[in-house]
Amino acid sequence: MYKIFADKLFDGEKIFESRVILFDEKGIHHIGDDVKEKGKETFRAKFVTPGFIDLASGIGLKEESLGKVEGNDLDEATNPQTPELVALDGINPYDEAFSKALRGGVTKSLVLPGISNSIGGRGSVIFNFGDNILDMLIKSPFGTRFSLSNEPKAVYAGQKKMPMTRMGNAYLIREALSKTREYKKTRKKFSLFEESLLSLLDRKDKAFLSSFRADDIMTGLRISDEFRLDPVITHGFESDLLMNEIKERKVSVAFGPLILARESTEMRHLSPAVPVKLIENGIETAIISGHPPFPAEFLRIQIGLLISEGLSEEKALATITLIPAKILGMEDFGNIKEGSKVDLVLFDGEPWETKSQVQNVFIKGKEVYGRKQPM
Amino acid sequence: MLSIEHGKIFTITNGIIDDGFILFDNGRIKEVSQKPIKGNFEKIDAKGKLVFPGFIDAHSHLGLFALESFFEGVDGNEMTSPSTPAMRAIDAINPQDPAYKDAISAGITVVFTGPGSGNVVGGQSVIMKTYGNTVDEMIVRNPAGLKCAFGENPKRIYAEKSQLPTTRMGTAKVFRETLSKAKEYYNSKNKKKKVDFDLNMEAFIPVFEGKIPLRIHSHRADDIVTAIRIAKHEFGLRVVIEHGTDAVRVRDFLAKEKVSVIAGPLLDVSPKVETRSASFENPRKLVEAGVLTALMTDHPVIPIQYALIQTGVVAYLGGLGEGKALELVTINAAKILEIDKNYGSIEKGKIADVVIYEGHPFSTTAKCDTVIINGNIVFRGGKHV
Repeated sequence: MYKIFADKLFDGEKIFESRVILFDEKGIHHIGDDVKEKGKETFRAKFVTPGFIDLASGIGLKEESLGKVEGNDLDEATNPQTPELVALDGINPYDEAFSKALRGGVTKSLVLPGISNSIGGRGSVIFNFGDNILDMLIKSPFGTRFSLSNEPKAVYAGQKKMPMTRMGNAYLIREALSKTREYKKTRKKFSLFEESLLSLLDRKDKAFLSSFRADDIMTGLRISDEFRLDPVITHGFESDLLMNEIKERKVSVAFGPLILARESTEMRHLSPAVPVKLIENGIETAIISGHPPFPAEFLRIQIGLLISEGLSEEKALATITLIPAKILGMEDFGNIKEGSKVDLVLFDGEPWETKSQVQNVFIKGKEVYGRKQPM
Repeated sequence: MLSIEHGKIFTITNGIIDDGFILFDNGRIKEVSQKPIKGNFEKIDAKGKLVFPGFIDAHSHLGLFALESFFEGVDGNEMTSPSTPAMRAIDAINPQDPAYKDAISAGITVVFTGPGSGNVVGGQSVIMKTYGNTVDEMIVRNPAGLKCAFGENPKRIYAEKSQLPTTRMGTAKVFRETLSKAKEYYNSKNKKKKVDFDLNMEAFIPVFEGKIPLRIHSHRADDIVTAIRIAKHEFGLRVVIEHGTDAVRVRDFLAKEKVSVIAGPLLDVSPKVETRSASFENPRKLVEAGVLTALMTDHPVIPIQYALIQTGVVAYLGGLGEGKALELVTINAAKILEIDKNYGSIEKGKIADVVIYEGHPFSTTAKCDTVIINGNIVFRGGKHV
């Protein structure tokens, strides 16, 4: 049995002062303010939060320091429709970024294929820790990447293939989903292509629609309506222009990265003020690192920018804990309650500050990171 | 005349004044004092706020890789020949690039900006203010350095074209050959011999005169040493190492050679094999070894408005400490850019570039409140004036 004394505890929704948490590998047994029971080992922390979740990442697919060939398995840019791809098959568990993500308190990632293809493929939810990919696995496949942006146009114009327009891009998505709808009715002959998209039509999987511009977001929502998909607006830099449309449909947004140069015109709207507006209007919004180029390790620093824009500390912390956990359908990973998963991060200060550091990280009740000295 | 009252002043070179006063006159700092300065002038109340010299980004591509555009705004690398010394950043810089306003919104008042690292010899860079309407009025010094590049970038670019350089030897050959020609051109001109005018060779005159350094992009330690061996030892030129990701490995050598390093960017995922030793601890290790060190955003690699957050990570996680880390983006940057007579600290006589923050700029929740450039308020209450 472990025991943590937390000056502040964020349980997924609220920040409590002076809490004691008792847990072991089986789960969190007790949270209180005066626990006499002796723990095996005792930790003291200024701030305790659930392990952070990065809801859209390329970690392990585009690896650190391995360059453009060996280290890049993110974008299979040879065919704009590749729903058959699964992130798990490309993730390198030995990517140095995993240990860095952990020391930033990010314990879980939804790893998705890149945005080159209109339909990029399927994601995998993993712990950022483990000896091999099966050890890291939480669930896979989960989440299907769609790209409604300049990216597929830019890639395939060079190859003289469709899509070279937004119409072409929407067509490719609609065509694949229509074929799947027909396949579902007859299922004459096994086809991996349609099989990969079936769970979307059954609303058992979520469509991560990567868009920046409002018109692209709207196209994604329109196609989602048409096929009754369960979408998550991803990146969504202009989603504040579509507040009503998003609210009406009860769609969530995976916003970010925030620390990213607005290198194209479709990114011109990017600002920390946008997610704050969404959240204040009741739209379920998670913040993502988009790793790489922005490192998952500093997901926590991005939420400081939301607080700076006037968002409450609780709501800011929820964007990388409870909200993404809900979107992934794994709520007990996003909170700290009796009975929830033991996935905890101990900080020596406010998690969103550059000044603060992660002291310890627990996954499945085991300490997987402990800071011995400055990094 | 304009003054700041009751601010906590981080002078950088003369400690911190807890309740300080600054008077500006004619675009310069007229007085820095612990006591109220009497007189009839516009006063900015900085009570409870922190006051810094305008921050300096010692290596960026502002205006050359313009934001919010693709092909139209990308003018940083003329990759049609591996040696293009006559390229001048000033001819491509777009002062309407939104990045200039982003820079001001974080209190960055001076930037070094220039060509990218696609070519072995890239062209002439400038030092400029972040406020202004035309590039000419924003210039602090032009040319301010001649950009050169070693390592992966030039050989990757020219390998695609099946053209030299495709190896590090090839890069060194282009570099040495260009310098040899330039030296001959410079010597002939000096001896008043008749030479055919050559725009590319003209770019080296301030370099051989010792007026501007070669600003050499290099990550790996062996590239750093190659750059110094050729430029400094063979040709007697001044060198500043850009990025220097692996500079820690040769820090004693750099200290002995008195070669400065502009480290970074660090707030990104290491993209290349040659950037593998990227670490927030590197600036601390260089400073401890006695290497004059500054920190870059390499904007747009790290968006310039997050320069201070990056510096904060170097200060705390990297262990350099707040005071020394502030120097990376103020006085050290000014010294490496050789503008420290006018910039980099709050001192009497320096140019009136001053920034007022609510909270420490290294904090993610701090807010830049006021920016004064050349004695004029250009940013106030979190808004561009």
